[in-house]
Amino acid sequence: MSETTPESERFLEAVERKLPFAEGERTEILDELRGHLADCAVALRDAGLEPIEAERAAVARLAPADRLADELTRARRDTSRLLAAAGAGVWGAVRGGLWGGLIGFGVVMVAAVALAAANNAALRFLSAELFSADSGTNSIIGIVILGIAALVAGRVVTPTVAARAGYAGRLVRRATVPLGAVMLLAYALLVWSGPLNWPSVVLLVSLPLWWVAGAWQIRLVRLGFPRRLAIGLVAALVVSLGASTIVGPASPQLPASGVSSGPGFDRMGAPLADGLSGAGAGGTSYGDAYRELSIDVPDRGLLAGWNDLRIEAWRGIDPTRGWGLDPGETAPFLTGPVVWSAAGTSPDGNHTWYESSPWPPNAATLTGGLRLDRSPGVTDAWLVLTGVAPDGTRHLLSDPSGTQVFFSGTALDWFGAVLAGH
Amino acid sequence: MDRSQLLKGTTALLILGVLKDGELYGYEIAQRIRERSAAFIDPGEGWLYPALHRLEKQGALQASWREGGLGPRRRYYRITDGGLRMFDAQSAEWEQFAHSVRLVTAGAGNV
Repeated sequence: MSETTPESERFLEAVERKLPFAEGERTEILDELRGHLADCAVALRDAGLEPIEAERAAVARLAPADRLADELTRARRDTSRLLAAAGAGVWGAVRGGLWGGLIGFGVVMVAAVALAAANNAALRFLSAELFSADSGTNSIIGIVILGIAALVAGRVVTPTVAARAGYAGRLVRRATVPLGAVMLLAYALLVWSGPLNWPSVVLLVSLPLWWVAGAWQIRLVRLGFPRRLAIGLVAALVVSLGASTIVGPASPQLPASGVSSGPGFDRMGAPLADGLSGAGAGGTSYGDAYRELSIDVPDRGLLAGWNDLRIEAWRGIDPTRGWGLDPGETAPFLTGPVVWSAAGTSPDGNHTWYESSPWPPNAATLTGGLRLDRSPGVTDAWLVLTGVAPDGTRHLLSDPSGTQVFFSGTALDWFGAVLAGH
Repeated sequence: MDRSQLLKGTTALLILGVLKDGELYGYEIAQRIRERSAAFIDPGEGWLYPALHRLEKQGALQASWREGGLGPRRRYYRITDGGLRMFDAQSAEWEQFAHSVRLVTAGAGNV
């Protein structure tokens, strides 16, 4: 028995290129054909053909490679393979996603450590921080890791399904690419929830693109980029992703209390009403989202005839540039109602506080609350209680209270809030 | 007449027919068909392996690898009980078809 020769091997390679099966299955098919070619060539040589002619004739008898591969592929397809392919696809997505998640975690961590080192160096030599983390840092880290997981899963799923189903990868991709992209888009818009800002929203809704890039096995080098440029671009991407994980506004420098005349606060309303200057104000936070502001009014009669009492939230100036209201703000971005309660008691009755002396007979507490995690793009806010005096002038009823806020929710919540003008 | 067109409808019958007498590997199957048909059925072997794999999928054949002495390993095919039933059914159908064709081609006087 002779071994196959280059002509046979070229034929077998041509068949192999068209077989959409896993490696083990391809090997079995090719071994069978290889044995056949060897047997046939020997028989033809014995019949008097020259070795080269015998080999060519043996190859010719097996039909064109493309047609043979197509017919073998069709012969090996059945329903059970499609079911197995679906299962393999799901498993491939999970496996690829886990691997991608690990890779993404490593990439983000390396980038974050490098940038933290840069930050420390800047602090030491320039006495200035380059970056500071905020509530969105973890979100961006998580989304970048998800993106890399989607990229790797996209690379794995199509060949896995193609090999199990017995269909060419380009055909399988027509199903896996849109299916995965739609699922990821739904996940990005409806399921993922957490602190968001514009960069993280853009990153989040780009998750389907990571999948598509993986499924199409997009490589910069393949797209014609010189290798060094491609490496540089990938490095820049990694560094910028890392930077995005730790870039954010610095902690706000909240002013001391009693700032009703602070920068820009006159835009909120006229100064504190007479008799309320000693009312004092207290703020309460419930989780990261809900903020309450209350004042203890020594005599509820002071506000008789007033109307439209409310709590307002105004956009604050970026704390890295100063403090006070954002210079462009002429109206609150959120308002809410206020409620009266017994003096020194929260509206729900769960919290009480006392003055050093007993509450006056007509004292009462005025409280307003706002949910501040539904305002895209607002990172610093000033809360204040206001009301319209009988003369029609809106007055401050409390000192403004500064707070750091962050949008939290799904991407759909974000777009809904943007469209609603929040 | 294009013999490959005739072959298309009878590949399973031919393969099952030669495997009914014992297990063989692909090249042997092709040779056996050629010999038994006195080289009348010899269109090349491109049709053979897709047909073998389809019959295996359908459960009519079972395949197993065996190491060859000096040559490469061989994939032997053995007919199953289901394959025998398929052969009987297809064989009867073919006989009926051939008989009908003969009746038609013999002319009205022989009906």
